Amino acid sequence: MAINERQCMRKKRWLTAFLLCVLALAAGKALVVKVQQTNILSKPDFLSSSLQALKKGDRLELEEETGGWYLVKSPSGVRGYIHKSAVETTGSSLTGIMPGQKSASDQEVALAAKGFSEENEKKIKGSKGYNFADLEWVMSHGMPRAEVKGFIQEGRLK
Amino acid sequence: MRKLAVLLVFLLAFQSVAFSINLGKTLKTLNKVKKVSAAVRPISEEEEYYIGRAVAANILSRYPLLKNEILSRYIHLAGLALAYRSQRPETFGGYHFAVLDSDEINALSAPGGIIFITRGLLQICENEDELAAVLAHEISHIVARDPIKAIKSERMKGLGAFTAGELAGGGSEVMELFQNTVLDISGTLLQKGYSRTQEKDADLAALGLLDTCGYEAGAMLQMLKKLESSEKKKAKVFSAHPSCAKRIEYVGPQVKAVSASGAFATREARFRNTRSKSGV
Repeated sequence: MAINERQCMRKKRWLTAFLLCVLALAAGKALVVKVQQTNILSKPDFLSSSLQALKKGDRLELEEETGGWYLVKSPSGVRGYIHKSAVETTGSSLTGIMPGQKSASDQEVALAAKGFSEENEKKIKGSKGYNFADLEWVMSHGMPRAEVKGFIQEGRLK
Repeated sequence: MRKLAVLLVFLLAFQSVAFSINLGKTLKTLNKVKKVSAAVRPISEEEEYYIGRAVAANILSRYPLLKNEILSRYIHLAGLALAYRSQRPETFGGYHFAVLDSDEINALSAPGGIIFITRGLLQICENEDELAAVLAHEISHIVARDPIKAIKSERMKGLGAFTAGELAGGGSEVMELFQNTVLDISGTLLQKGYSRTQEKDADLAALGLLDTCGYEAGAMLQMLKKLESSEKKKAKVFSAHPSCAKRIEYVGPQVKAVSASGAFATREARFRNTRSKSGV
């Protein structure tokens, strides 16, 4: 086989592989929830009703971008809005379809890479200079969105 | 034939040695890349959350917490009303707001959205819109991830020098780095302060947030005037802010005077009611 033919074949193989990658990427962008808990909302507004509760690591299909919000579809078929600050794009859904690959483990590695984790927090609990007991009091005082909505309406806020 | 076989064996042996050398080099390079990428990649939401928890626990070891359910509920509601309309409404563990039982006039935000306001600062607020101005300023620091930027770059490089396994293992050197990182941030929040640019940006972003939420942005100007007149009582952190006079200079032209509308009066009434019920 002439050298030119071989080079041509090699180029064709690379081109095919490249096109396959492009097609796979274009197939749909996947989103992963990066906060502990959040919701798919009925409107691009925090005070709208929740359609589905989500937790960290849940996957969503991105359909549209609207300002600071994404229109998404959950694996169970629920369509609604989620704020961009609650999710990260995986670039493609490839990680989801490749066997043995989990984005959660990537996150764990990334977390361990800087040493700030629940495990390392346990090691400083009880040491001088940290008051985790009072911190837990603060962290236990969340507020349901319905109450925030009531507060906003009562104060004639937007 | 024998010569050819010897040559073949020699070539194979040479190739395998070359392969092992290359493999060794490749593994070393990969390890370096891993360390460098760990050092340069941005801190994740979850890391920010755990750093924030440690910083907040450190602050709570220096200042007593005011455990007042009525006040806590009110501060949370006002804070979340603002945070939900900010550019970063969701953080890994959500926003949390608390009052420190201190006469100092101060407010600070730990990474990830744990925001503290002192009783001293709360007591100089005369209405909800003024309290909202303080909270909006702190939320703006969280949106800009300013507390994380307080980690010294040499600390980041130090953390990057460890492998993921070493960091996860939490050996004594790692824990020392971890605690020094916490002190970098606490030191900035309590003593050194953010840069003047960061503070100016937070002030201006807060004005936008107040307006978006329907609060009177002019309340920020009122708060700055109060801070200016109570400078003797102020906490160290305010010394690194631009001076109140400077802040008034750039905030003043951006806002209208507070209009005593019906909505403002309603909010003022619930602020006074909460203060009275909470006894603070």
